Amino acid sequence: MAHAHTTHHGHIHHVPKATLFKVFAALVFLTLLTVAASRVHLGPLNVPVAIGIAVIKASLVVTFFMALKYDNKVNALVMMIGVIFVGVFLTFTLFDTAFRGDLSNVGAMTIADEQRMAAIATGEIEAPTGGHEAGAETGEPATPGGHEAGAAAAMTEGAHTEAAPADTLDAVALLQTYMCTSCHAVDNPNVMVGPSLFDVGSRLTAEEIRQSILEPDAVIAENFPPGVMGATLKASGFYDKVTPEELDAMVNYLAERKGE
Amino acid sequence: MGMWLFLITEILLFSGMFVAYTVYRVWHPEVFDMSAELLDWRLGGLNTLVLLASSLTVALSIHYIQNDNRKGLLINLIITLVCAGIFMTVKYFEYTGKFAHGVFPGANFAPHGVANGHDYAAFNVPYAAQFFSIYFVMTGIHGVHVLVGMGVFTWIVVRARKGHFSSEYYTPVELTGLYWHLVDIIWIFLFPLLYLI
Repeated sequence: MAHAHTTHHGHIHHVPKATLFKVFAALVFLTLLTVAASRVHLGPLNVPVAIGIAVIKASLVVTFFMALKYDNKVNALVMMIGVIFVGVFLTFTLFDTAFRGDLSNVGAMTIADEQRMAAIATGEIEAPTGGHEAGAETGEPATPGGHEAGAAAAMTEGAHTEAAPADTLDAVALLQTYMCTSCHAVDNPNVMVGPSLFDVGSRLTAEEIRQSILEPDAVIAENFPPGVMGATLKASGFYDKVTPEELDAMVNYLAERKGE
Repeated sequence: MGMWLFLITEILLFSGMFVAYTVYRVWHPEVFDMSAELLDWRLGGLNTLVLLASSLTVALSIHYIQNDNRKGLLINLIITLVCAGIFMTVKYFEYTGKFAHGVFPGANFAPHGVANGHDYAAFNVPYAAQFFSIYFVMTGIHGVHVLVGMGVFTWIVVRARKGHFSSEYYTPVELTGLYWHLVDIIWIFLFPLLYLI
């Protein structure tokens, strides 16, 4: 604990009484000011104004009541370091929490896919279907025959006045577009929301694969919940949008997936 | 300097709670804005003025003992204690008022009843409970600090009456004063963040 000071050391922090009363008056005024400011609707400014006034009040208390102004500069440094660390604490925590996005989204589909589905449902983007006329599309240049790989992003394609033959349809792109790949891995054995289709061709016949798509609840893979795939496909309007040729393309492709 | 090091540990203690408040506020700004209406800013404002006055009297008590004015020291220390008591009394009425309307921290949050033009049941929305949990914990821990301060000041008053302090030696008064000013500073931030915005 502190020793008795038998001699006056260099830094006696005598704060003049008048100063103390003036600081108190300022503090009272700032209190009234912050209350008044909070009753006025300044929109997003209300918060910084309140915090700013609080910082000024705190600074007055630290500087004059706690006599830091008249004190050993080391103490001011200590205080400054403490305040800086509070700033670091707050800033870095907010870097995390303010940018976490939608952690509570634990649905079967990814957020990007949900948004795409919504956009398809509202007609904002086209799901690739063989039967659509050119008039239904945006100004994308017509591409005869197959879709580009990665056609998932560019929903509108050139006019198909008749359905393209199954083997020129890009099954990989279709699996992406119809969002099968948001629940099923196709080129690796990882289990996602649904079982991997990596080797589905070695487990199921083409007809069984077709049935899994058209009637998902007919045969449920072991340890997976029923109802999810059926509900997802119905909700996305898959059954209304997919053409027989596209379905054939996907089934045939999957029937070839025999793993490595 | 040791006292200042202790003070920044206290600041960081409260910072944890301020950060929690900030994070939840950023996540749910409207709920926090609305929930604050249930806190009476007039009582909070009164408590702010009371604590500011107590900081003044603490600073004055040190001023007087620096001039060997033992009576000035004692009177101002006692006024400080009285102010702290007023603060805790107001808080008591605030808390019991909340409890009477089912506003408890944590899982027992069940607002009901009508008072002061508020229909408490309308505040039973998601994340309002978080606001009040934070309110109770922050003002509660602050209140504990006020009580501890009152205890220490009581001891200082006893020593002052016994004539332990003079212009040559008043360090315990100074250190207790520093602690008390920090308690005031914490409240200076708590009041606007919880009651006003």
